[in-house]
Amino acid sequence: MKINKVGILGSGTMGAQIAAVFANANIPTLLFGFASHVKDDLNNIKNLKPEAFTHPSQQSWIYPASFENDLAKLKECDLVIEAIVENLSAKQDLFNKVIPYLSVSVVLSTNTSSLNIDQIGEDLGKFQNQFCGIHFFNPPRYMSLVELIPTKQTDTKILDQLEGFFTSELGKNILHAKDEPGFVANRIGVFSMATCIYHANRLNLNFDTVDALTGAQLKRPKSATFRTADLVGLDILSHILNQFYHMLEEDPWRAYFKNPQWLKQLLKQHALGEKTKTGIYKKENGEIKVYQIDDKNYIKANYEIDSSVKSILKTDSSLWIAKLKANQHPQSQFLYSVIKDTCLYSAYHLQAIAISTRDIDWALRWGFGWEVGIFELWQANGIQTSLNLFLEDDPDMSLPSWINNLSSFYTDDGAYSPSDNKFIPYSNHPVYERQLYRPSLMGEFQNRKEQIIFENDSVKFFHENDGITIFSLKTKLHTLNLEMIESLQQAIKISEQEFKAMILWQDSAPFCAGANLYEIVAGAKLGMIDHQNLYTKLKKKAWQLFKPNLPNIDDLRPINDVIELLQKTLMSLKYSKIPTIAAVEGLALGGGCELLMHCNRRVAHAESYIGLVEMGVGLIPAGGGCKEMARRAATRKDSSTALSQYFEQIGLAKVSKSARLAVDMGYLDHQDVIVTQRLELLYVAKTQAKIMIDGQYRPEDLYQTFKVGGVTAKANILAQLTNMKAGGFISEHDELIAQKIADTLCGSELDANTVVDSQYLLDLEKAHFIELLKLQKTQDRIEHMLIKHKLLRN
Amino acid sequence: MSEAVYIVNCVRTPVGKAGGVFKKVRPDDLLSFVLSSLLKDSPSIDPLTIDDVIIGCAMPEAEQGLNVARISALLANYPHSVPGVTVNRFCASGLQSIAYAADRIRLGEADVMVAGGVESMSMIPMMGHHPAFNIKVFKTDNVGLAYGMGATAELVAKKYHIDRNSQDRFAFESHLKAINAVEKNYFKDEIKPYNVITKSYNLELQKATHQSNIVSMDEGVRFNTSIEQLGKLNPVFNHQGSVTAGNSSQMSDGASAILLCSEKALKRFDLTPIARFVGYAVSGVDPKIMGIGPALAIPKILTQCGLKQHDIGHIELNEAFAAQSLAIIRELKLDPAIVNPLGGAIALGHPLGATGSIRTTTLLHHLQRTNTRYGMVTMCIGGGMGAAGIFEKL
Repeated sequence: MKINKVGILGSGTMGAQIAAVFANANIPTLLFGFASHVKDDLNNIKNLKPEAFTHPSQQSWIYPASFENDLAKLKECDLVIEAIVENLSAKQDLFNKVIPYLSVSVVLSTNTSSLNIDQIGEDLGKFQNQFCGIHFFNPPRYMSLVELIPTKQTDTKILDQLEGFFTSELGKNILHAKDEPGFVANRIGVFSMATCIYHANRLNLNFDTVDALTGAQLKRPKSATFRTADLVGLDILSHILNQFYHMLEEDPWRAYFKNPQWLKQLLKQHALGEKTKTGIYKKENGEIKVYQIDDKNYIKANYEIDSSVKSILKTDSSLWIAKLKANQHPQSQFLYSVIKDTCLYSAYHLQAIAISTRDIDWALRWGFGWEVGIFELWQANGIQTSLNLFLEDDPDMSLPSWINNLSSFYTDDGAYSPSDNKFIPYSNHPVYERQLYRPSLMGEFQNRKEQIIFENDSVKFFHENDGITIFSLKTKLHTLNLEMIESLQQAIKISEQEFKAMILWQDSAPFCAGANLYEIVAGAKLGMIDHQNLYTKLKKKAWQLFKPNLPNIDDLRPINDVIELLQKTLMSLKYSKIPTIAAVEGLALGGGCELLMHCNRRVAHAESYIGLVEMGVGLIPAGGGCKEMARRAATRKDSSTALSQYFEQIGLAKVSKSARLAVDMGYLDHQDVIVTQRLELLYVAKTQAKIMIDGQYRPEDLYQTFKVGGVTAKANILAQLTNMKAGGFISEHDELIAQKIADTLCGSELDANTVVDSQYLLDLEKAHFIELLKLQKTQDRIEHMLIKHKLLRN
Repeated sequence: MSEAVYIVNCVRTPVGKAGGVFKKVRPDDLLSFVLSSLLKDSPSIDPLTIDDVIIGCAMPEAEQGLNVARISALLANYPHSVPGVTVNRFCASGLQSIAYAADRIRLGEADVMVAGGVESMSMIPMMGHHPAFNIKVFKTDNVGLAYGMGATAELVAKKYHIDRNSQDRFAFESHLKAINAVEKNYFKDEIKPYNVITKSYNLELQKATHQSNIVSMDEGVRFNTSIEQLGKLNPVFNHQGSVTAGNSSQMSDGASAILLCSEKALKRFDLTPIARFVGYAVSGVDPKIMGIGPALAIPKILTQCGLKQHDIGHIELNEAFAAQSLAIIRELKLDPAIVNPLGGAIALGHPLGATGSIRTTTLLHHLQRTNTRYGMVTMCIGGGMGAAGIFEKL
């Protein structure tokens, strides 16, 4: 059965945000709340940051309804999710109240993170086997993990239906969890936090030190442990820890869940974290300060890590456990203890809370943003070797016996399941047939059947025996560099000669974070902007600064030539004889945006953040970005309004906050396809390719001519700009860059509506880019971005 | 007691066809060009003494929006102290601006005034870019406000029994008279040649190109037209009607500027006037038959100035349509020989808000040429009005 309408019971922040998830997928949704404030609740989530809606207009898919007057409307709903306050009897009462109004075939569910699903659903009568738990993570738009928790009576067909629907239509990653406290993700994730709190206390480490140790260095989110706590809210953290402490009476690690003294103290001071602007951290005069347990004061956070620990974390993570144990520094002992406890805790509870190791590792990746799951890390360090190290500390540790003989958690057959005592493959639910590149955990089965055409340090170019080539970037953040551009040129040629379509796709986000700035600034420093200079000793010294991030100095080419090559390549992408399709997700900035704009069609994940941001580093888009925006404005009826909108976007380096908003911004086209499940991108891109092939695709607009706004449009933009400068909103260098953007977008000072070809604008782009690159202020901006990862507004 | 108002100089651009020679020339450029030409022709005047620049414009928006009078005055390098105002009485705007400028001098509150008009119908279409009517227009007997000008011309033709042949004949004669004027170089003194610089892009050579084209003649005159050709055109505004593109005025681009002075200023700057402003009147009619407006305005101004119809030796009657022009000539029994002796808007074009001052410029030059004492400029006005102004040659 198709889910055509959804009812959400409860219009609090979570309920309303869950409604937004459905609304974002164009699914009509009834949001039930109390008549007095349901409309206000809905309005409130419009202002949430980060945004709950992928586009302000998506809100129109939600119809506010009241518990008092509108329960009869529940009959129209195929799926009903209860999301009111976390209170067992309140939830049970609500279900009793709504049952008479439900459709006989409804799927009924509860969104809870802590209550027992069986108990919530014990009085549902004939709906008993149509009921389950659905656990969303906050914020639900951005967190891909959803746990499905069956009761003892839930019909498995219902679970299959929900898995297909949530995966494909809402873009969620489904985990089947057991009805245990915290289910899978929170049980392990919160424990991991609790163990950090516990060992930090034991080893007397500062909060900022712990965050420096447990963030990106440990392949976990930058917000690490305590910054995450501030973001979640210290009152909520305290509540969760308490709950676990009370529910997990038998848990050997129960003591870890006890609220620490400092947390109680902070709550007493009403320091609740981000929402009260003061928590473990607070920002004062632009400086981040951290709470000191001893004197209950805040001092400047320094996030310092001992160099010996730092060097261990820089080595391959497969060596971490042994090295961390061997180092006696408290920071090292802290990390060792945290990893050890999480490994042992996960193994100890695996059978009770999940089906296989895969569930826990994906729960940590999807639910907590870890780059590597705990079993993955353990296996990489050697299961038995590590276990022996763990047992040295506590030989009497009680652990499930299956761990003793295991050498892998993951094999070609799948992930280890203690209840089956074997390795079990991925779910064979048909929805996963649409995930052509299903992510797998270390050494698990591979479903890839790629035939490599060529591969180098920057790209992989292959096909899968279906006449469609795939061009994939391998560079860090999938940035563009000279090797990539040359490879793309070659790939287009090969695809035109031997294949029917080409797809630009990456196996993970981002699509492309832009051009490799190291190559650009190094070229500038070496004086290799518009000609191949002999580099002097001085220049060679400047070169050293960037060397680690660059190819051989002799392989560098003048920037002017690289820009020309990029333009030529992107034009051949646009006008190739075969359809070219970009499969976009995550960031597509600067050169990345230009890359997708020059494809003939785009398939974009709903969470695509697209923009021409070159101005941030003192440059203008010169890979056809300005040319494309000028051309796109020319095709619109309101071309002069469009042109000034596009100018503002480029001039302020705006980035779309979703794929839908990228359509408004003109980066995506109305005929482009937006998909909610990122893992289906390649599948949909191939479908689009096939449609275009079947439609006897030929490149459009071969003569590439269009009208430019010329002198009139430029004058209008200069009027905007003059006021921004006069009002002090932009610096002098900003103004200069913006003038060059305006000049390019308008086709310089030609008569209004003069017909030009693409090459004219490409030449303007290049000339302005080169002029700007020669300026010290632009070079300073680029360096600042590379070194400090921040914008310099000079 | 009122001061005398003298006209010292008047100039204009050639009139281009909409979409023609001036299609890429901004109206504020056309206007600033005539404003600066005006001062060049009268070098003795101290620009700081100009009290105001009053410019007529019928669709004052976009390129001729904001306050095109002020913008163009500054672009013409007039001192910052010289103000500017744009006035709109649709097709009479260019005449209205002269009347307003004259009134300031007549009152003794100004000594040096610049008037004129500007319109680019290439850039700003009839009705402007975003017409937005009030719904009440359609619920009262003012629905005529929504009538297209052509539709009003059809109503006038019907009401005053002006047949198709007469209209075509009138249109043909307008061209003949204009051809004659061009051949005799009658417009040479009043027209300031305009250098149109085009910055375009050559798709074959793939490079930007600059072209310069000096325009010194009105573009609308058809040298090879014939009464037969005019007769073949289909009516545009009513399928059974008589008003065609050939017997209607042309949509055009152009600008004109006129320098008006008090007696005091004449003496101070040692200027010789070419004419005296005598008077101006305007009156209203049902918008549905707006073309008949001058039939009321002409008697009104004559009475106002104490003149008789036979005192006027030259009438510039704006040929919005042959139908309404003929209706007025017949209603008032005007002498066709003195109406538009150099051709009218059917041949020379009708850049809406500029027309009043352009035709005044033509009139004043021709009064000199023919040594005629009184001349009149008159026109019908969209929305149902008529205007008329009288000048005396000195």
